[in-house]
Amino acid sequence: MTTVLPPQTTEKPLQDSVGRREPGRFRTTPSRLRLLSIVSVGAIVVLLIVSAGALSSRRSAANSVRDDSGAQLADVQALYHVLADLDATASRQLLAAGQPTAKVRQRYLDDRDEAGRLVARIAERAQSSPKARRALQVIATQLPLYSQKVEAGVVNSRFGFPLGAEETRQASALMRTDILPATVELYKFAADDLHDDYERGTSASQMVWIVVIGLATLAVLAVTQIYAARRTNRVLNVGLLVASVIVVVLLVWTLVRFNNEQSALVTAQRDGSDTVQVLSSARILALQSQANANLRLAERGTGDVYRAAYVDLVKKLCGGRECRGGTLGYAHQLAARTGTEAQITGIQDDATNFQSVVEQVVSEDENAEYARAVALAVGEQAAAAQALDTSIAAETAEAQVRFDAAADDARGGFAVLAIALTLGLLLAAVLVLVGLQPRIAEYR
Amino acid sequence: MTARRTAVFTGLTLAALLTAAGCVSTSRAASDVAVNAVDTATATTTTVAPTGSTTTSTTLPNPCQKSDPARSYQPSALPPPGVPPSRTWADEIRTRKLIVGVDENTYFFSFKDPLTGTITGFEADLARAIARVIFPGVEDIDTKIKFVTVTTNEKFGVVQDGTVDMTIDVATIGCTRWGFVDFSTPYYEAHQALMVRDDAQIEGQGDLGGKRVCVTTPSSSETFVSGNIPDAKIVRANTRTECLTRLQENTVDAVVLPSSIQAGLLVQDPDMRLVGTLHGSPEAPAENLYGIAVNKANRDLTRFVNALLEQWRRDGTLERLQSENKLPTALRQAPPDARYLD
Repeated sequence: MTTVLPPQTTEKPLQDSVGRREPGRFRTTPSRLRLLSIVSVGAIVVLLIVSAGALSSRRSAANSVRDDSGAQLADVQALYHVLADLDATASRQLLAAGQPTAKVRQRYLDDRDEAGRLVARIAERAQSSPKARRALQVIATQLPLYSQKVEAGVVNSRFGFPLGAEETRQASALMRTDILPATVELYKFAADDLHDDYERGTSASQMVWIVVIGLATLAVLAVTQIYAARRTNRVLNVGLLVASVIVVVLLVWTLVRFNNEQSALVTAQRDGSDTVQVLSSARILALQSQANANLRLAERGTGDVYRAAYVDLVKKLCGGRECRGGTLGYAHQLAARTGTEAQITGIQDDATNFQSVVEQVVSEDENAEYARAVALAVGEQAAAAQALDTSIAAETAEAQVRFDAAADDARGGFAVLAIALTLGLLLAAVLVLVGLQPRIAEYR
Repeated sequence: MTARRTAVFTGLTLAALLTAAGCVSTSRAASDVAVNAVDTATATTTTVAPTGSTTTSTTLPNPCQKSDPARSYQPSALPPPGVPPSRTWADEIRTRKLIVGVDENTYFFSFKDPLTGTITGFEADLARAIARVIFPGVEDIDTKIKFVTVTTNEKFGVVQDGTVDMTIDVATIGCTRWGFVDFSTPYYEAHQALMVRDDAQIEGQGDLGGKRVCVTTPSSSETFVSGNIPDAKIVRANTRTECLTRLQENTVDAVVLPSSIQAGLLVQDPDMRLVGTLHGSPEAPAENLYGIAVNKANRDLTRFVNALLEQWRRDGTLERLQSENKLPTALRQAPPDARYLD
């Protein structure tokens, strides 16, 4: 270290002389004007880069909310629903005697086909996510096995063999222990992705940077304008003025567009996807409640675990018998945003009705009226569950429409702005040069 | 000057816009509520597993004689035909229904007929026959009987805790089990049997070393395999039909269960075959004598059941119930003799 020090001290005077010479280069008016023109153009280019970057990020976020992450979440929710519906149908089949009716059979086939379609669509979008791929792999490999067990269950039951019920039970267990948990994972990833997009599309820091850089650019243009006016005895430099106007217009346009996009995304979430998500969960909870209520009865008397699961699920769905809390209670709070409380109240009433029928079934069973309990379960209880499912589905569809409309608003108008921003700021840079060049030339 | 004014104006506009932008923002609160609701929902339903215990200790005596576990209490006197038994337990049952623990998967013995939903089989009809004596003159006896379906793991626990009045579920009488429940005299005799896939290279108990063998748990078959074929890999199943699906799916190589159960499984999949004769030891015998399990606190009910079985051995009712339930010829038998403790 000590041997290195002496050469450093000998170099110091050299550096000083260079440092002193530097400011001298911009002492004359033309060199100062040249410097200001370079700084102005530089500021405009930086503004262009920053705002184009922010625009492309927000544009892709807004597009993704509509076409990618939002659509993915909707598909994952649909998949979860279809799988829970398959499970509820299987549990009902375990309970009911005889062959599945053509209607039940068709519902099973429809659900199965729809699950296949949804898995393919979800997989296509999830290609870049290894975690989602793993979950999808579980679903894609276990679903055919599930299907095979259900089919075998139907065939064996047709022969009057108890093996059929065992296969149905195993199919149901496969659904509950492997397939549905993997779907919950997918649901979490999709919800995370949508929220990342919401955050990317509503980033306040982008707006702050654009404002700061935009104001700095305008300040530089103003300083240049003032300096040019003083030194050249002209009131206004037209090139600079037009460039400033263009920057102001584009800045305001960009911020207005960003602000509209941001509030549209907020609307998409508050009035749309929040309700869609909460109601989708409610729908899944309702189906799983139904499945557990059926399994409790099918397992005759030793179904305490299913009863406990049912009680737990219904609590999550409703909070209590009046169904003013839980997931549906929360959905009711959310409905205040869109003035749709009445519709949610209707759903809550359906859920209360479903619960009362389930309790009737339980009390019939506890009074050892098993046949009556089963008849009630496959009749009135199934109808109440269906009514609940239908009313939740209808309101979810309404919220989905609100989401789609707001998400469409969020991404509109970016294309024109992108072109205007690029061309306009380039034009402004050219105008700065064109406006100042004659003034600089006057000093030659 | 104009430029400065413009700058000030622009600055104010932008500041106003920024303030407006700051007012609205997205939040993931609702999304988290939605995801958590179904996440825990799945967690709850996946933890579902049948519970049941046969290990609760009891202070009641174990009268079992190691040399002959099938000895039961002396029969009591039966009421005249058409008259219900005048006993406290009978009065209690008559206020409700007779509650019987049964299996729902064992073809021929006790299974839920998938076409009618009714619990069907030799043992189910045995339960109905008992109910007919407690409720004489009832037209449709199914209105006076409640079947509780139990897994192998649960069948003695429900007797002990009073969930059921009795369990009739191919329950092999054994001294350990006498510690938890009382047994009636035997109504059927079976023996451990070995089932393999038709193309398997297994011809008897000697070929099972290192093979995966399915048994239900806890069961006489589990005791038999661990006691007599120690080098087999035991795979434990909750239900008897689960063993068959495992054999079909090649997750086990063989199934060891009593002959009574195997015959029913074989009917459901003719691609399987029964091989060899299994040999047991005094600690883990190959023979199964089936008794009806009754709560130890209700010895009088055991005596009553024994009296009925005594009568049905003599008048051919047990054989009739076997033929009515279309048991294969190999499974039909004259019931084993009754021997008593006192």
